[in-house]
Amino acid sequence: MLRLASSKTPLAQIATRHVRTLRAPTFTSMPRLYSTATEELDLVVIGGGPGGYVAAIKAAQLGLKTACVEKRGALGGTCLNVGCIPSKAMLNNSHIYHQTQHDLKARGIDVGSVALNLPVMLKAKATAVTGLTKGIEGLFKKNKVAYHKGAGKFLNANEIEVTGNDGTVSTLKAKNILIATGSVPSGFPGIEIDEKKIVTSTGALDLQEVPKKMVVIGAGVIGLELGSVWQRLGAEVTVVEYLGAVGAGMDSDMAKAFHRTLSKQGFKFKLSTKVIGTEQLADGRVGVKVEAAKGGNAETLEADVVLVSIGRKPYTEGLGLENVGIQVDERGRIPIDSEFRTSVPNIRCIGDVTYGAMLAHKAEEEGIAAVEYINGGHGHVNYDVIPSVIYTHPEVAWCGKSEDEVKKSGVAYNIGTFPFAANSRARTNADFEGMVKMISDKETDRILGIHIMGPNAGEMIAEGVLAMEYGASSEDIARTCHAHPTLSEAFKEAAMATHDKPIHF
Amino acid sequence: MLPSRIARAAVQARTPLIKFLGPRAALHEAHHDPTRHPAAPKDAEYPLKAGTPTEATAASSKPSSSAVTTPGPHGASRQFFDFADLPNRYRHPVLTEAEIEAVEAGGATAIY
Repeated sequence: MLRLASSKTPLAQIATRHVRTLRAPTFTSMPRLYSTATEELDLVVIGGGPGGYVAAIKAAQLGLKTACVEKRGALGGTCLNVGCIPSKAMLNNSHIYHQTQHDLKARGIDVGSVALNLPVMLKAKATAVTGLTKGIEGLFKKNKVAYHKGAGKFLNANEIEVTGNDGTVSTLKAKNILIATGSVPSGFPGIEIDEKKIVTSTGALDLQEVPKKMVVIGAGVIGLELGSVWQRLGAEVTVVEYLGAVGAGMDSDMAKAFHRTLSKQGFKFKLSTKVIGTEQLADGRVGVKVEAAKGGNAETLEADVVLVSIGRKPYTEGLGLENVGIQVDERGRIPIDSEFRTSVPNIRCIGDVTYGAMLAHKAEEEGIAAVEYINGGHGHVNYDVIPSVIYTHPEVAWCGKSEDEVKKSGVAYNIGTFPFAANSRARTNADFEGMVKMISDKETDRILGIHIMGPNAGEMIAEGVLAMEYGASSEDIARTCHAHPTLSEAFKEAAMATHDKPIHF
Repeated sequence: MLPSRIARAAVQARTPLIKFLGPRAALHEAHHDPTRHPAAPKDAEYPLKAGTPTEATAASSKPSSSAVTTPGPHGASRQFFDFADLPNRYRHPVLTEAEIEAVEAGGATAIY
């Protein structure tokens, strides 16, 4: 008996489960009758977005028999198909168009008439998306991840029914299941989305003509990025925000500077303003009824297109969570523990559908960590150092704590700032809007937060994330050699300003 | 002027705060137990409570196709289900392929 209990053999595992009544196992367990699968997998990942597909590849690399179920028909999730990637294609190309129209002459480049060819620009976006999604399929093949195109639904804690996009139904059986179903745009109560005139981010990436007037509801990352795209292409953009600042909770100094910069570019802002509803106008346009957040000053904003970008919500529709007894919280998130386990131990969950920021790179980190836990090791996600980026021009990027958060925590701190206007490369490029702001612990000099608004901020923040991940002090960065002339010297000078004094400002 | 500070600065080498720990594989792996998720809201319930699969809820609230209602003692009606409709928690644990293979192969050699 003792030998049985201590053994690791499969029979011993059964024996230990039935230790009180050790006898031959009876084969009356019904779940097998439902199963059409002949092979038990180590892991089934539901959702092929940035969290799911990265987890599936990592699991396969660790030697786990892995399948990924995705119903969109293309891998990459919201990020690749209707989010980060297509928006960056549109942001990049609209920036080139805008720069060609307004900036090249001053740089000594005379061009003839410049005209927008929107269908081609949209096609370039689609080409970028298709190339990347097909690339993931290639990675699945390379790593031997089975890809099931269809909707996954829990039958029980070990079986997933897959309704294929071609209508076929099959069942996957797995020891572990990872939920990575992501999120969808939040609707606005009382406003019906038609993805033509009243759109979410998905519709805003596929408008077939440039709207004359566009109203953006919500001054967060998505609203400001997509507002930028259409503003550069010629739309008059008005952003309505309930809070008193733009920018998804960024550091308040940066939010003020960013607000000023976007206003200079032509954005109109209505902060501390609430949206009451929309109405169809006689000329076919949409009226957006707004008033001050505290009440009063009601007015109607006319728009050809209204972008609703007030956030996103976890997506669990049709997943059959009720069949395994997993309950979502009041915000629709699936509760998990520190090892990404749900209330059912062999079912884990990552990404937008659970706690934390709804960011693709956060989901990727979690995907790898969750798989490492499944494989019996340690996962690592540092939630204090997840970077955020707004890919407007200039870009805004930050990681760690904002000054308000540090102040609230009661820790004594130092601040150093350095403007891009004092950086040689930014001046040379004639692109020097913005600054770097660094916050460090007054006593230890350990960096607590880094905030950047400026050219290439989204790339530059990686240095800050690495420094914070390693627990660097501002002096560590200040004493690290940075190439000249580069924008990153502004980063070093901000570190110098934090622990001592900058040279060039 | 603070001569002592200047003198100290001149002789003390700066020690970076940044620490490189080497390959993770070489680190001692401490035992770890799951805890509350670091990004969970403060009021989130922990430890997580396992809910009852609604197979059970549905079965008790909505008669399934195989459910039979019969009069119970004291006049109350009782439902009976086909064994196949029972929720998982009332069934035997699902055997893994390896376990099934070991049983079918006799298994004794695997233990002794």
